[in-house]
Amino acid sequence: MNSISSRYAKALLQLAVERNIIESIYTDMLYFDQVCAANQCLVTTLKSPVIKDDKKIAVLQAIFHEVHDLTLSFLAMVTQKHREALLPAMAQAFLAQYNQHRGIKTAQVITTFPLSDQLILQLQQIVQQIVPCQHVILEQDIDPALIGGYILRVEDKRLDQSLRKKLLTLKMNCVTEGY
Amino acid sequence: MSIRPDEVTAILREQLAGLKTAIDLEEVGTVLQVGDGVVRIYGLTKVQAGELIEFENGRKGLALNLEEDNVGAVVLGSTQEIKEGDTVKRTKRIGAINVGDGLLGRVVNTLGEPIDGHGPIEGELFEMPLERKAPGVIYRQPVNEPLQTGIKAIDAMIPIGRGQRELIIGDRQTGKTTIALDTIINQRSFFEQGAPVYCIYVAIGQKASNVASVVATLEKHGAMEYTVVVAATAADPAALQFYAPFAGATIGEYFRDTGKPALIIYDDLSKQAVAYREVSLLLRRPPGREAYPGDVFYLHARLLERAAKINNNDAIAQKMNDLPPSLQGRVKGGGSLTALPIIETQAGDVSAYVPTNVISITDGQIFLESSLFNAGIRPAINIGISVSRVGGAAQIKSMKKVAGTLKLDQAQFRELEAFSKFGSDLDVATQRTIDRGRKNQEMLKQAQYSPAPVEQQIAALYASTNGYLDKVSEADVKDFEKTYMELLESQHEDTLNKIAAGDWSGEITAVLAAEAKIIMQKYHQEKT
Repeated sequence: MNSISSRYAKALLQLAVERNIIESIYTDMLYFDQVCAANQCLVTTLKSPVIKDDKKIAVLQAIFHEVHDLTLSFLAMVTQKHREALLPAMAQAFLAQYNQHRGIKTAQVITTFPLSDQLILQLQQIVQQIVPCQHVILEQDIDPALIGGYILRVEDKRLDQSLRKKLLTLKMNCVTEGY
Repeated sequence: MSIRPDEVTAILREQLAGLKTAIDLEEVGTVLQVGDGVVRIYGLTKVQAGELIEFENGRKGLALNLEEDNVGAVVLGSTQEIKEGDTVKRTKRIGAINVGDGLLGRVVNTLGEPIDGHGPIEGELFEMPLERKAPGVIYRQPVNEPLQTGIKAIDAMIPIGRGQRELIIGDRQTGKTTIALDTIINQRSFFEQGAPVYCIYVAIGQKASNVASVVATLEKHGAMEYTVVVAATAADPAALQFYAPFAGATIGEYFRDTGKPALIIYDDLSKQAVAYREVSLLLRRPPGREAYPGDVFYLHARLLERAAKINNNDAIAQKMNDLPPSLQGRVKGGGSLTALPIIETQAGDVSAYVPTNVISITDGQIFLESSLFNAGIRPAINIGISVSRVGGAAQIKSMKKVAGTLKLDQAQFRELEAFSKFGSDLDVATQRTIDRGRKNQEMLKQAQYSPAPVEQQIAALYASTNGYLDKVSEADVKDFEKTYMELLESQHEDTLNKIAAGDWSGEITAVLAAEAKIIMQKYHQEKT
C-alpha cells in the first residue's frame, strides 16, 4: 500500500517540478491533508466501494474547486484508476517527498518549558549537525516528566539529554552492579 | 551496625563519576505491534540482522526480520511490559553471552544468567557471540581421539570420536537422555585424572522438574563439577528456547578454542525446531514442509557445524576465522567440541522432516527402539541401523581387535533370530551364531548410570566374542561378567592398565582367556 501511494506522489512531484508549479501543488496537498484529517467522513467516502467514481469526482471537485488544475486532474485521475482510497496516504507521501526534495527535515523536540527563539535556533543547528539538510522544521512538545533537559528526534535518531534519562541510567547502574 | 553517611556519599559519588555524560546519539524505532513474544518496529532503519535491541524497560530483543518498512524482532523475555508506541534502541552489538570457567557446576539460562540460586557467576568471563561461523577447513583436523561413553554397545560398535556429531534418535521413553547422562557421568574418571572433558547439557523445552532431576542425578554422581547445564524450559518464551542450543554451543566453543575437549548434548532438537517454527510463523515467514520455515535445515546445520576437532598446531588455531576479540591471546590448538544432538521421533517415524535433516547433518546416529526397550534390551540400541561414520578412526587398538566384527555378527544374529522363529530345524552353525548372538546381546546390556571403563568393556567383550560364554546359560551372563571383572581387577590390574593404554598382545589375551576359562568351568559344573 505504501509503495503504491509513493509511486503516485513521485509522479505528481516530478510533473510539478517540470512545470515549475511545485509550491502551489505543495499548498494544495497540505490543504488536502488538513481537510482529510479534519473530516473523517471524506476519507470514509473515498474508501467506500459503494459510491460510484463519478460521484466521488464530483464531491472532490466541489470541495477542492480553488486548487490548481493539475491537483484537480490528479484527484480525478486517481479516482478513475480506483485508487482514491489511497489519496490521503498519497498526500502524506507527497509532503514527505517534497521535504526531501527541498532538503527539509522535521525534528521533534520535547522539553519541560516552551522554547525561546534563540533556543530553537540552537536546536536547529544541532539537527543540521546530525543530519545534513537545508532547513529544519521543529515540532515542539512539552512533557514535565523529563524534569529537565530535552529530547531531540530526527528520523530514527534520538538525542536524549533529559534529566530523567540520566537518573534512570544511574539507577540501572546501581541496580545491576550489585548483582 | 551503623552506617556512616560519608560512606554512602562516597559510594554514590563513585557511581555518579562512572555516569556517561558524553552526547550519544541513539538510533531508535517505535513499537508498532507487540504480542506472542514478537514485536514489529517502525524505524531502526540501520539495524543489522541478529542485532541486540533494547526496549524502554531494559528488556532485550533480537532483530530477525528486516523488511521494507518495519523490523520484526523477538523479545528475550516477557512481552508484558512492552507497549505499542514504546521506543526501541539499537545497541550495535550482536547477541552474545558471557562465558568462562566459572560456569562449571552451574545451571544457566539462554542469556548466561545463573538460575540455580547460587549467586553470580564468578571468575573471569569473556563475551562471545551466540551466532558464530563454524571453523573453516584449515583449522580442523580429522577425528582421532575417542570419546568414551562408558556404554559397551556404543564404544564397541558405534564409537564416537572427539569432535564428532552423533545423533541420538528414538521415540519417547527409549532412554535417549540416559545415554547422554551416562556419557557425562563417564567423563568423571577423566576429570579425576586431570584431563577433563567439559560437558554442557542443553535442556530445550523440557519440564523444569525434569531439568531439576537431571541436575540432581549429575550431582549425585559427582558430574556437576565439570558440567554446565543450559536450561530453557517449556515455560520460557520460544525465542529463548530456540536460542538455548546456540548459548550452549558458545560455552562449548570457549572450551574448544582454549584447547580443551568439550562435549555438548542438545536435548532435544525437535523441540527447538518447534520453537523456531513458532517464532518464524509469528514473524510471518512463509511455512514449508510440516509448516517449518525453509531455513530449519540451516538452523541445525550451522549449529552442528560448530562441533569440531581443532588443529593441534597453536599457530594455525590462533588464526581461526571469526574469533571473538575477548579470546584474543588465549586460543590454543587441539581442542574439540563433540555434539550429541537428541531427536525425538513420533512412533518411530524417522522420515519426518526434522529427523531426516539431522540424520543427514550428523556423522552417524544411535537409533533407539521402544520394542527393544520393552524386551529388556537396555540400552535399546538397534545395531542394524545405528552407525558412526567417522568414529572408527578414533577407537583404541585393543577395542578394534575385540569388537571388529561384533557389529556385523550382531546384525546377522538379529536377522537369523527373526528367521528362526518360523521353524525349529536349524543347522548347527546357525544355532551357534544365534546362541553366541544371544550371549553377546546379554553382555551388551548395561544398567543406567553405570558406565564401564574401556578396559573392562574390552575384557568383557573378549570373553563373549571368543566363545567363553558358550557353556554359560543366558541368565548367568551378567553374573559371569561380575565375577570375571572382580577377578581381573583384584589379580590382573596391570593387564587392565595395558589394555586401557591400547596395548593388545598374546600375553594379554592369554591372561583374559585363562581367567575366563576358569569361571566358565565353574558355571558349567554347577549346571551339570
